[in-house]
Amino acid sequence: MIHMNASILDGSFYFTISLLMIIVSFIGYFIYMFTTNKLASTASFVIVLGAFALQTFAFIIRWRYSYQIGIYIPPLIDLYDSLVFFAYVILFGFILLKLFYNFNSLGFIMTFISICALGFATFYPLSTSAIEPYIIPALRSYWLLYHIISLFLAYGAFAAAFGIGILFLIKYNQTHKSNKNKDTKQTIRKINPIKKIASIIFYPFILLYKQFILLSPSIDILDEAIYKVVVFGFLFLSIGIVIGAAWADNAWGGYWSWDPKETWSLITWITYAVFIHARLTKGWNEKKMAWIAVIGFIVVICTYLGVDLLIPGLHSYIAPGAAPVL
Amino acid sequence: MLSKLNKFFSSIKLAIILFILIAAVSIIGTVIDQGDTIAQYKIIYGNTVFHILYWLGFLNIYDSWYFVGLAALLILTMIISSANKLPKIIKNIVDPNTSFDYALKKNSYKAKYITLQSSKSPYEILNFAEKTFGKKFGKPVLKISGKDNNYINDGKNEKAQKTSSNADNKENNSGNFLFFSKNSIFRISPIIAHLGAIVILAGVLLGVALGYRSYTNIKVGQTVQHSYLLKNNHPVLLPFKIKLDNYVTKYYKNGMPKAYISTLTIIKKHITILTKSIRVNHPLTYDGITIYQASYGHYKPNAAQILVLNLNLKNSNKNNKRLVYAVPGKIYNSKINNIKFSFNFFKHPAKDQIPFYISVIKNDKTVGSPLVFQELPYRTKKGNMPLFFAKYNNNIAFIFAGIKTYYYSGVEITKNVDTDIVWIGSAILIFALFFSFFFNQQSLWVRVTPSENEKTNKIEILSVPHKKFASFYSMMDRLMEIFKKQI
Repeated sequence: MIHMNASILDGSFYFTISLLMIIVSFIGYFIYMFTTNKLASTASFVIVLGAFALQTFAFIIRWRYSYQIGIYIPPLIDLYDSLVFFAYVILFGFILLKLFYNFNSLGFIMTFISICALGFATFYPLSTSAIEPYIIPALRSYWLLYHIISLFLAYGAFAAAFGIGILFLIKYNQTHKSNKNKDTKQTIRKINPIKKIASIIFYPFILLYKQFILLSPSIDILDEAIYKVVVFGFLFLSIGIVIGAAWADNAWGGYWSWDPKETWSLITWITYAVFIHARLTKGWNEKKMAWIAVIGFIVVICTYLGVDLLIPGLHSYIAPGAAPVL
Repeated sequence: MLSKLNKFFSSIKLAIILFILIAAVSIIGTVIDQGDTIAQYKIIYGNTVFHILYWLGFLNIYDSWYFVGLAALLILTMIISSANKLPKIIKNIVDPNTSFDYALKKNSYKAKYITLQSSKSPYEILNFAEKTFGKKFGKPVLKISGKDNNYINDGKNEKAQKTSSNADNKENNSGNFLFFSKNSIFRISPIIAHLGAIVILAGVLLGVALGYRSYTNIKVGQTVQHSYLLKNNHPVLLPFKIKLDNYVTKYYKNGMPKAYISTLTIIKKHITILTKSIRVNHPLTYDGITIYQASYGHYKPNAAQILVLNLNLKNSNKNNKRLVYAVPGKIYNSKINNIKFSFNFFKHPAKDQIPFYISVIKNDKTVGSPLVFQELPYRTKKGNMPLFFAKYNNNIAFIFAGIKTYYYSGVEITKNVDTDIVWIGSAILIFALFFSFFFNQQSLWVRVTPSENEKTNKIEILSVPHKKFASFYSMMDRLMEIFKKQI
């Protein structure tokens, strides 16, 4: 029996519908990638806008519901909440990037990350959408809202930087390869028969791949976008950590306790601080920056999910049956 | 030697290496549980591994000398590199180097350099340029028009130009020339961001040196004046006494805790200063010391609640009953006919037998056989409940009224010194980050010189962004299109 979160009462039904919409737009962006069909990308973007609007509606429903049942704080406390909010922020970021940079080719990566987060939220057995009418005392605080929103804006931005970073690396390798090929054209090369057969079989795919490379923005634009998205995320990560410290000072008796989540958020902060400083180092090209953006997101995932699933601490999401945290 | 050290400490590569090392050490701290007891570590890792980890400082890594040392080195690099850059940045804001040739030479890797030819007069060209580029770059910082150098944008610049220490700037004084500089003031924001980080770290260090974090468990009704440090359990003498008047856990209907509330009284020199309830997220601060609700619990129950009834007296008499908290084996006075009693457990209770009994003591001697409790149905408003009672000679009845548990409240007592410094540093850092990320300094030079044939004028346009952004170049392309049309 597959567990699925789809209740009209707590709004998770609408998130599940939005998941289906995002899957459709992902397929649309996939088609666009290989066919350059403008209609496919436009339709996909419209569907993404629709999914975003539906999620906004679902959040309103959940928020209202949590107030109706008497836990007067926004629905941003458990794993399900955080995953759907993550998906929401990623869609929001993608919409902004699309409007500012017209990044159609980013669509399939961003919708894919969004699908992963929403899919995980909907089907992972430990993530339940039900809002319980009780809440542990530590979370009864208005710091919660600002702490989580700023951190998730940061997470979303880092996810976007990851997507753009991958796009950059594909594009960068391709342009450099073609430059190299130009240099070696003059020299006579031995033709490997297996390679030749393979290249004939995969010819359509290679053609599509080249098409995709052509479609994506120039590496300069990608590089700038990575930087801008990362610094946006870095700013909000800093704000989120400071708010969290202020809250901890208020609730636990110290602004910093070296709780695993705290420590990993510091490690994330350091990773992106390295990114920002490395840019100023001579001899570090854009390719290295793109790599840091990609690796940085792995650190983000460690902070976001890894710490909860592997190392218990003050920040662990409340799983059913877990010991209550004061 | 000194300059070598200076160069070493202000290099970004050192900063990056320090960042990576701090991150690596932090990861170790999350993999190995910090602050457990030695016994726990020995169980988890075994004796040998424990000693290795202990020797490496991995068990209390955030207090280890190398972690503190790395943080100190980071502060040092921040101070030195900021101090090195500051004069240059201030000069760039107050008295920028406006030399065209110098900028072209220095920024060749990110500058956009364009030359055009036009038959229009230098005066017209500069006016067009001022209009076109002014839209994005604001008012020109410097404008020199005509050979006799009599037109300078405003008085201040004229003065600045004359007093400028830049030898290169003087070359601009001949010919026709425009210089724009936008957002140059924000070049200082990275320095301020580092200042913020230094302030935060300074606040943290002060807090570690002067403050403490400690905990203590207070039994309901108890007064304490000591607490124990979180890191090593050493006792701390508090400047006042804390009495726990009451402790309650409020529950939701499903039994999940809703709130943990302790009512505390602060007593200083036998004078009650204040009484306040604390709960999670709502601590109490007095005299620079903050008390937080941290945990709760109860001690292992060690007493039974025994209700002693005098059956000879009428109900109207209020002295006919007494509640005694009876620790098993101890002797208590019933205050009825000089009879004493003790509450005891059977060592080997029979099946279905109530496992405790009362021994009656008269003149220090146990009288008769143990009084066995009997179970009676007892009707209350809430329903039927069993009542355990034992009777002695129709004079005294002992009713077992449950087990007495002593609750305690675990509180964290913290002396947070200089947290304000940390918050001020954080605010400085965040504002400075905002300005350094989102305000890119952009400079633009326009120089008009007569061509060799003297019929047309050569226009050179040099634009330099501080950060190399594709959007800057595309903006310049758009502006150039407009500019080309005009000339």
